[in-house]
Amino acid sequence: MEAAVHGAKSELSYLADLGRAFGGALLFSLPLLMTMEMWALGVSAPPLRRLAFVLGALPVLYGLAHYAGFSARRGLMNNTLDTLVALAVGYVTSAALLALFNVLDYASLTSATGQISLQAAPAALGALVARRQLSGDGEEGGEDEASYPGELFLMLAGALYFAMNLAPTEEMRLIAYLTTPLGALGLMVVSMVLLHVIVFEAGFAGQEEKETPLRAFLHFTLPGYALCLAASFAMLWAFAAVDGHGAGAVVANVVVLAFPAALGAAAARLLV
Amino acid sequence: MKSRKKSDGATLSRLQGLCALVGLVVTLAAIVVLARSAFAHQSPPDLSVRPEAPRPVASGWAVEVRVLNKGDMTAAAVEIEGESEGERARASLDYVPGRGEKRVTLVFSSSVKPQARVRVMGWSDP
Repeated sequence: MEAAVHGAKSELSYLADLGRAFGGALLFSLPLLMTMEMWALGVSAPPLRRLAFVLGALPVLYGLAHYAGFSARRGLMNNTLDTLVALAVGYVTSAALLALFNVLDYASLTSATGQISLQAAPAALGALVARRQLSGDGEEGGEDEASYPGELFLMLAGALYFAMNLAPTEEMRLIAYLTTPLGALGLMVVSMVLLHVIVFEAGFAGQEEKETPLRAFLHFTLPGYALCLAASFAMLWAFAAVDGHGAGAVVANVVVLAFPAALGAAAARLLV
Repeated sequence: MKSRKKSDGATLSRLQGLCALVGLVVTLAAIVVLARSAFAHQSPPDLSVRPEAPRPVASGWAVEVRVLNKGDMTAAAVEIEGESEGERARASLDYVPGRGEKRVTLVFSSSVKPQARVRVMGWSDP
């Protein structure tokens, strides 16, 4: 009898977690679901890159299930299950909304699958940070216990979380075309200064409290910005945004996208 | 790990297991569909048009045209042109996905039923 009551309580509490996951998926992915470039990329991005985008998202989602997650349960089994549930939430949310908006391309199975998958991965990311965003117990995130690689991972997740909404838009390409080389250099400096100031001032896991600004710069800001550049390039590559560009234009595009990525990485504590 | 609950068998929710199974199946299915398209030989776009019977509209005659892509790769900015007794009509499509089909409508202003010759003028890579 007691076991049955405990089981029902467990189901009910998981139902609440699941609701939060859907909330997080909606909150994060709605801007992307309502971005026309994303509908087109589902059809037009090279098939191998659409596949790489989905496969590349899996380890990031698992890491987020460990460090953030939408339920308080942890452990290898629960992290794996939460990652899969987040993917289910992502696929259901994206498929339902894209169908409601009537923007799904049913012309072929691959086109509709591509469109939904490209939106499902970011939606799953949103689902996994739902506990931090929606539960109201903001201090319950896992970052406080994160190791140094864990903190770098959280910076990467923050960068992806923030820059993903901007990466597919034409405006990012246009800014990269319009900016001068000096402007791009300036943007790099601004990105790094903001990243450093926010990380150092906000404090990452209490570690840098013992560190000088220079050590924090070497430990967090530099590798963090490198991760932002790598994440930006990966997103631009997946969306085939810099194909056929010369080295200068590729760098300009990466630096422009790394600006919002750096803000996301710096605010990782607040975002994820 | 003060705020974490370590899982054990007793705390696993049945709902969690069910949702995870759905996630696994859906994700694997999507990966299989995308992988098949990524690793299969990709033939270039091969577009053809099939005009349907003209129907009268307020401004003349509308000819609906099915545009089929028999290739595996997507064609972008597809231009379709129709000609009937010296009158030309054009329409464009953002995309025609590989192995997919889209529709356009060409409008002719003639008073008599047009015998339209329709062709694909060209396309670009996405």
